[in-house]
Amino acid sequence: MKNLSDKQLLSELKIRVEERQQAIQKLEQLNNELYRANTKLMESEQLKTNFLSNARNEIINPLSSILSFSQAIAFSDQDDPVEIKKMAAIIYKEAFELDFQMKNIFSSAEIEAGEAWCEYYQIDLSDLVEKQMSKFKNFALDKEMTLVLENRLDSDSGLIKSDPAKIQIIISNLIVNAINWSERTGKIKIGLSKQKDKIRISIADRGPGISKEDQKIIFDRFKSLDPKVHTGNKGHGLGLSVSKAYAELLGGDILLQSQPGKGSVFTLVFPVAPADQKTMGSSDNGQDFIFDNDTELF
Amino acid sequence: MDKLSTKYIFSSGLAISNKPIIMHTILGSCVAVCLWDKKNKTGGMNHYMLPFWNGSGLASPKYGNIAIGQLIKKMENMGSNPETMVAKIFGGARMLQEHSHIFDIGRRNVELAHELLSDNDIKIVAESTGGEKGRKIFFNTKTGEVLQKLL
Repeated sequence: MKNLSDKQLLSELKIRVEERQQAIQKLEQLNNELYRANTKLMESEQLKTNFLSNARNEIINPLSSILSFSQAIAFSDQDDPVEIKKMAAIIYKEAFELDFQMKNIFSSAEIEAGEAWCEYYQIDLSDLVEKQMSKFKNFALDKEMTLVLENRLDSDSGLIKSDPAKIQIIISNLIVNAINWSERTGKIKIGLSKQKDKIRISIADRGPGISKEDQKIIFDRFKSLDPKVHTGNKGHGLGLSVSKAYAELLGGDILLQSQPGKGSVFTLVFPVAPADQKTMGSSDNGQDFIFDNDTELF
Repeated sequence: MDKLSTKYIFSSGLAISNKPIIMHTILGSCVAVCLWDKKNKTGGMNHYMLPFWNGSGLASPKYGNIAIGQLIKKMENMGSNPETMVAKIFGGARMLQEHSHIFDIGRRNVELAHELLSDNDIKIVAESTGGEKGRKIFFNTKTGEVLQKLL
């Protein structure tokens, strides 16, 4: 064995101590990460429990009001057309919101079960967006707001192959959020454009804006930044997490630009599917398998 | 291969079938675990992108720990158990240009499959993972065979 001088020994020892310290530091860092992930998971479970107990109120309350108003119309002596129309409007509003919430709940269940697929059809995007906007027009009017479309698509580039049901759910969630979060009166701008081979649908509100901290958690499930006290918003905190997952399924994403006090812009960006995209969903192109040198059987 | 109906497994998706079909998908750094039960001729496949769900977004099979757990559970619901099931794993390539910021996510995806399958006492009978090429795979749920083409 080679004899080491004291100096060599010391420097060797120093290196080892440093290595050990680095390893300990790394371990501490990993521990912290694990701790953070664990806290977040526990929190998510707690939120799920809260969600189940809230769901009861948010489903049963609108249902009871639908039941009682429709009963009044059908079975009471009420025959003033103005009153009946008012009741029908309430029934419509409650049923519409219930339908919207249920769609989010079922969509999230489908995504979490791995059973969400894209089904591609030929669609007219401008038409689809306009239809979604007209669905929410009345809700915007309740808050004296208007939805404005800035369509930069020409009639050809709006014809694309994509999954209309997914796009509808994403847009409706973004519009509802924009309405709920904005102050009364004002405009919500909906922009539609195509850059290279990507479609961009942006929804800009004049709400309070979202801080950098909150932007990190806004897409988490069951998370709502809204204390519900001042706005009376309904919702389970599922809309954005569902929208993000659907955007990813379309091969795209949802981008967020926001600053406190300056409103928020949510933009859905997704690639235009190539013409043969329909083969991805339900196809028989599995049969077109060509054996060559790169093919192996396992 | 027989003329069977096919099902494309999207990323973050999974499917189980006790009928003879071809499940197919395309993988880069993602991993697909194919489980096959030779006794009752049931097959299932997932396609996950990241190893662990950390509480962000939805708890979907985009994440390996959820995707593998769900796949095993669904196979068990169809009457399979670890003794009769075998696993084949694919994917986990090093797609540098795609994921330069999260280096070797593919390797971590593959490691997770090994860990979780061994925790559940499911034998891995075939594997084609790593490397730098993407893969196209076709899983026949009747025979349990998987055809792979490197891309």
